[in-house]
Amino acid sequence: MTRRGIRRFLQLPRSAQRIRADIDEELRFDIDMRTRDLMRAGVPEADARGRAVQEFGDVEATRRYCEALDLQAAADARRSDLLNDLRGDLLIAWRAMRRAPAFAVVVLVTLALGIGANTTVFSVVRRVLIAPLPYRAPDELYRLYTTPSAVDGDDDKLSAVVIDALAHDSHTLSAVTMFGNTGGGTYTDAQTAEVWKTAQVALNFFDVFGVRPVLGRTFVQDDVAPGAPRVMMLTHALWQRAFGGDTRVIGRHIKLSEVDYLVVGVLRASFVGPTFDADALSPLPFAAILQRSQSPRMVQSRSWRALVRVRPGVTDAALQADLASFRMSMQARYPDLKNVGVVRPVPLRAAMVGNARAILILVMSAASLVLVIACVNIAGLFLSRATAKRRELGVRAALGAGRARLIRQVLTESAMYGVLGGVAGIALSVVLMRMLLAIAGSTLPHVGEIRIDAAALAFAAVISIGCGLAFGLLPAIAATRVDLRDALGDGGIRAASQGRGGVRGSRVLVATQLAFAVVLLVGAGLLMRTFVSLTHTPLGYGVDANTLAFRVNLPYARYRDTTTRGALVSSLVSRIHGMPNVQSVGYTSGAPWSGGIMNEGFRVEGRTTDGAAPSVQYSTASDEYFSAIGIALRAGRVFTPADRKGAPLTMVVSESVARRFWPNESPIGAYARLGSGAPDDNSPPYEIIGVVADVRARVLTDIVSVVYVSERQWPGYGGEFVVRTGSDPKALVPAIKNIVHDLDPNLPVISPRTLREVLRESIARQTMAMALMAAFAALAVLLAALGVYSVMAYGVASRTREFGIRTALGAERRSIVALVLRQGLSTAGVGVAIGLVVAATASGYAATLLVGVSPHDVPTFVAAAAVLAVVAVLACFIPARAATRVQPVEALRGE
Amino acid sequence: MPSALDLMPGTVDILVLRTLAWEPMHGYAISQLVRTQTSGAIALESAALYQALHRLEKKRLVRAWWGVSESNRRAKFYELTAAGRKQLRTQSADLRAYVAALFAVLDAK
Repeated sequence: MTRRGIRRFLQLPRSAQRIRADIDEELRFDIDMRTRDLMRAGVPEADARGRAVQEFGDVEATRRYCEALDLQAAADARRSDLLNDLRGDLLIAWRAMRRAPAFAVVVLVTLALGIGANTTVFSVVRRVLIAPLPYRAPDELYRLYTTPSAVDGDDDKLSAVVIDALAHDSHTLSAVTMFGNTGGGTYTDAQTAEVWKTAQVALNFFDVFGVRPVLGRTFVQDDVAPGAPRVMMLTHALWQRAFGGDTRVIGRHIKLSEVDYLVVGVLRASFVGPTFDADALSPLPFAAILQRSQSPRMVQSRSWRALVRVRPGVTDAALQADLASFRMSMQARYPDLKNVGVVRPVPLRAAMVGNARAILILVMSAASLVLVIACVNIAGLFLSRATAKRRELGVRAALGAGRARLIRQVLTESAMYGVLGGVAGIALSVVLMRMLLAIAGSTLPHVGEIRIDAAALAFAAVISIGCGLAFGLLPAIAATRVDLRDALGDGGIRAASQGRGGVRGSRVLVATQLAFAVVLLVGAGLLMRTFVSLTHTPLGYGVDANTLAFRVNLPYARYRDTTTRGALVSSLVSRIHGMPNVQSVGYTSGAPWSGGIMNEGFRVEGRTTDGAAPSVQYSTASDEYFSAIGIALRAGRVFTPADRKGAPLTMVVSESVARRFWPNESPIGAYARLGSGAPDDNSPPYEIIGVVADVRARVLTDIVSVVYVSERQWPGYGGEFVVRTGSDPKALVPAIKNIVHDLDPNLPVISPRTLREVLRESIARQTMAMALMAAFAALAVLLAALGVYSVMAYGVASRTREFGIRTALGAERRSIVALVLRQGLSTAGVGVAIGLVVAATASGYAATLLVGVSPHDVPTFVAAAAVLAVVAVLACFIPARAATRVQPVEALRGE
Repeated sequence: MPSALDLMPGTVDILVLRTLAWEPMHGYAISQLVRTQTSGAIALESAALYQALHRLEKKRLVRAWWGVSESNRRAKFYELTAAGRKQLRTQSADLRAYVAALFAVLDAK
């Protein structure tokens, strides 16, 4: 058969060049034949050819016509060949999958976990870090920060004076607005009493964002005019929750903590602002605040958060320079004040996302590492199996299939797994997302709704196909490096044992898996140590599960009278005290974590201070507060019933206050006043009766300098109750609610939780990061173990004959175990070593997330290496033992 | 040679299919056969013939391969496929019916 005959036999499409040559030859043949026949009929040779061409008709048009048709036919044939091949390959792959369901299940579960986890994490990362914020020109928006406050450590609050000056003086800003979280109020209607969190926003707040309300209007100047009715805007979520989305809510009067408000607008669902979790917004009377703020002390009183929009095209450098000159002018204006006018712009997204960014990037890296390990693992499985398939592929090669064609067949199979795994992964990601949001939703920045959307699906599709090709390529190349004689000739003895390339390939895969698993384990280990040090940082108060805290707010309208307030608190305290199992009951106007602590100037009696009085934080405390919350008494005494209203005023100070104002002496017996020290300030002196341990507001913040005054002497408008019990205090909650309801049916018991829960809330993000990392690391170790085991087991199985011969020649069982272990563990050792180096490099990037542990913490690295060493030994040992059970006779007969 | 009739449109394809129904042959043989069959009454212009052959090949009504002609030259041979045979049957039946109807009108007294 000629070559073209084979071509025709195989029905292969011809090239364009071939097609043209064929047409020319065909048409020439016709003209030649006709010429010959004409000459036979007597036409002179000179005329014959001319006549034949003439009789033919339009040769050129025919040539073009035929060429176009043939080219198209060839293209069609090529396409249908591809489709046929694909169908055939898929059929082969499908049958192979049906034949080895265990293999398929392992591959698909591994892939689904990898793709599911990555799709979920991607959705979160995209929404939080990538997708544009739902505002007009969001990149022009910045939050302003300043130096950390000496009072509460917050660095995101500025004084109204500074914000006002900024609006007038800066020339890079197109708008300046401000807002503040004012806490909340109790909403009461016929059926319910629930707490709403509220925030105050400046009138131009929504204009600066460029957002419109979904219902009603935003705030206007008249809303803050003296004597104007109080107005309120509701968030979309609150509108849905409290009013069932009723549009008639606009114009309705509602009562919040007994105060009447007119609902004027409802925010869009998509509006998630920097006002955090406020449910309702009210207008901020800026002019009035400014008027109050002109004294030097008020210039320093920082209570408002500022948000600015830069003019279009303003560079970061220009903004910085503008703010630097603003600082200069502020300092010139207030020469006595330190750090006044220091403002630091932070892009709004960065401000909203905060350290969640580092955590998300870490988690995303971990998820992608798991996916890589999964792919490497599957590649290992495919490689092992591909070696077994060499015979089948050899047969196909012998039948004329080219190498590219064989690679395509193998890749089709892996891509099929990729697609199936991707579908399973997407399904899994929907479940994972629901779980993640249920567990960690509150720790994620509120920048918009997070869900599995089209972008996530596209991402999943891309990584599925990518994975399919990635884990198929190496095995495809290895398996198709087929020597026909090898594969067909000797019944597959050599074909069945791995070729050199295959062995090297699977060793590389094993080492890679282990290296990545080490990285993940180190990451998880460092975060775990961070978690431990976070939970063991002394806060200055107890964080046990036996102490309950809850909040009660007393609405001003009904509790204007101090006696009423004092009576309510004391009867609540005494009734809770009477409950079984209760050891002590404390009450404070501001617990360390609740943010209810106030700032006040502090002046030691008998000393003069120049300028503004240094400020401290103060809160009230009941007699048993310190023992209930577990703040240790260092010197003197705490409050007793003797410190009642009308008795001499007393004060308990924290150690840091004592150190700061009485560096070398005891403050007990000294007197101090709380207040600005301004001429019109006639605040009374307090006798200092005790010193107690310092407290921290949250785990990651500095100690706060607190002074405590007696609750009996200064009953506040509500605060935190602390109930220490001998057992699970959650059981008391219904009874406590009944007591509160008994005393005043309009008072809700707000967020009852144990002190341990308080602590957990404050480190929820770190906990979540650690939990996710631990989960990914566990998955990685599991996959790596599976990978090492499957490669080793396959290696042993394919060397059955070799081990049989060795045994027949007198090798001892021990030496065979040692042989297998040595080979496996040397590979594992290389992988672990590489992993440690990579981890040491990578952990530096995560340093900001670590607390109380070095990024190169030796015990963590050693432990990670040890865990994987043990895993590798176990994974190698089982196949090694199997190798010793090879019976020489069977091994030799087996072929 | 008497002047030949021009072919009516659409009849080239059926003529080619019918000729190939005897046996596989190359293009020149087809035109020779048509010439002798119709005693030269129908002149099948080669340009039309080859265009028809390639058209039919693309429609998979005929298939082609390279063989050796009676004069020992390489030539492209065509043969009917199963689809081509079926097409010939239906098309010739249609044509017969059409011509019969035409004659019924033409011969009406």
